[in-house]
Amino acid sequence: MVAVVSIMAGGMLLGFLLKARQRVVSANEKLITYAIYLLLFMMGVSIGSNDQIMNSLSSLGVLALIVSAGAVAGSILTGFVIFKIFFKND
Amino acid sequence: MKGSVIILSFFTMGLLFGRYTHINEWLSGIDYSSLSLYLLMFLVGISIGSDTRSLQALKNMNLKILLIPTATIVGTTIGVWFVSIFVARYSLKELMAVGAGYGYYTLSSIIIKNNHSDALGVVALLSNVIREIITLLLAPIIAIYFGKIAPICSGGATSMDTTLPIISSASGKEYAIPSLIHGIILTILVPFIVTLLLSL
Repeated sequence: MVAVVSIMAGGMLLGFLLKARQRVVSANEKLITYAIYLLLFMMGVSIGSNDQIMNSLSSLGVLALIVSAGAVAGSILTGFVIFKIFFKND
Repeated sequence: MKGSVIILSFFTMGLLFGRYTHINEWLSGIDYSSLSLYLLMFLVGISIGSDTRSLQALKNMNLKILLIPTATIVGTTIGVWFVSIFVARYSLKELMAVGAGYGYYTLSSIIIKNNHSDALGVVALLSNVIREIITLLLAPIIAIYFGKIAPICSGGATSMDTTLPIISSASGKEYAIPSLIHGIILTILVPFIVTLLLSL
């Protein structure tokens, strides 16, 4: 948590110093896309190789899916409401 | 949409590799998952730092940023309350504790496992992983139909790290800092809210 925030702060400082160099900035956007692919692949690997999770996917998974569907749908709706009321004209 | 399909196929590939090969043993000793997250955070940092609009957005939004985590907490509570009608196995407060992980699956599942039961801990782990995956896959669509704040609320605590890049590209870079602040606030609140709900 501390590591993540400080690494990001370091990147922000570097980005601030490099912002005049357009080529570096656009190359960075491509790298982000590849980093997302890597992250998702690794997340798949760690879930796929965890037998406890894979074996319980069917029974507890349905329950988990129901809870996350409710949580996400509710959050999207309240997010939609505050966007309409407070943020739309920014 | 194309982006989400590609992301899903990378995740699926990882799932299959993790399940049917010994890739995890080959990689053992090195926490590649954390390392790739750190790399991503560094690159996102560069992206935010090099964008002059980011700082401008922070100046313009000020205290309004706090409305976003509030919306996420209220929305999650309403949503979980609604679906709890269809669940007989666990009570409302137990399901709310699962929901109060806000996508922060590592910490919330450990707390729930220790304070409640292994089974509910697994539900918390899966449910919050699913919240992250739903956000990663649907953020671009959510932003189009429900506005630029909704993907942040959907991401919950993960809006500060894993889902930040997709939120930043779906809602625009000017929402990267609000997304980061939102994620940090929820990440800090998760252990308190989950523990509180289980002690009720």
